[in-house]
Amino acid sequence: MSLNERIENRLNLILTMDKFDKKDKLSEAFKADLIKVFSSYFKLDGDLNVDIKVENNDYSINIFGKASDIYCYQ
Amino acid sequence: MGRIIGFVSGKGGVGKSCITAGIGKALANLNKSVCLVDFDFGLNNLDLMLGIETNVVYDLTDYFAGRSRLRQTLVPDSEFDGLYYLSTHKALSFDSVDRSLLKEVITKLGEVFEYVLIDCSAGMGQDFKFIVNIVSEIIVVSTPNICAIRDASKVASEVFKLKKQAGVIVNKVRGDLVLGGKSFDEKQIAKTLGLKLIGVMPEYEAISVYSSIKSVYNTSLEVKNAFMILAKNILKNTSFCVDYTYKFKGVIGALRRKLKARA
Repeated sequence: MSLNERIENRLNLILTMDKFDKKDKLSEAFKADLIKVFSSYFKLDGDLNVDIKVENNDYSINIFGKASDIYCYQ
Repeated sequence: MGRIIGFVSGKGGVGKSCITAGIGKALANLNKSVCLVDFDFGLNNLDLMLGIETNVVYDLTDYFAGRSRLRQTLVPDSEFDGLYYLSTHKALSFDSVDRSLLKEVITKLGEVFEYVLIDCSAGMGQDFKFIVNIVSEIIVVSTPNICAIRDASKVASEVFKLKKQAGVIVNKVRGDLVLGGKSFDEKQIAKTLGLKLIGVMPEYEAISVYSSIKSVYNTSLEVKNAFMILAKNILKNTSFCVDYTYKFKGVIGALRRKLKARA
């Protein structure tokens, strides 16, 4: 493996690790905000599950929750 | 109580992290117990300089949140048994950290390790003011560039007010420029700053090239030797400097200088 390739591999690894760190920090803040938003429309039944995955250079976001009622605006 | 040393500079990009990592490795190579603390919150790179970025699991924010014990948070070096690293990579900024807890951690580290080396961020912000108040010694890192010397001078003035033991390490010195009268040498810089000269770190191409794939300490034998001299100067309070001008002396040296100037 050439020197350039070794440097590139290490850099890609570091940048991916940084993405995982950002993802960890984001998940909690994002979840707290989502609960506030969802709670104004739904009566949430249990916890809201926010799963952010880092795949290659993209983030895929899955949100799962259950509601026991919907709030109607009159 | 161990020696708690803060590495500051004022100007960014002078090589604080490189110097801190290299000296930490060299002290560990001399069988001292050393802990390196990365104080550059949000923009930390000390783990890369040590070559242990994939070994970091917990950081200081995990310790403060109770998710890890201090012993778990310290990352052991892959090369030297007595060398540990405390990461702060999850903390976004110095403002997000509890200062009293931080002071407690650094004091605790000082009780356990013979040397605690703190790599500060550039500038003279709140983190700089915090660090210079809690460390026992300060090392200012500068380069021969006048912007770096000017900023180092401002840092030195702040340090003098605190009456702490302080010294300067001159990084990225070039033998060809010093011999050609085109750059300050380390003695001139130390005299300008009014600080004790601790040593020099010449500009080695090996660091620029190979630090991207391995720890700065292992980039070449010359680099290792230079860091060992700096570490011994810190240990024994001496000021030996590696001879970075020998390659550029004499007839062949003058030719090398000319070729380098043309490159």
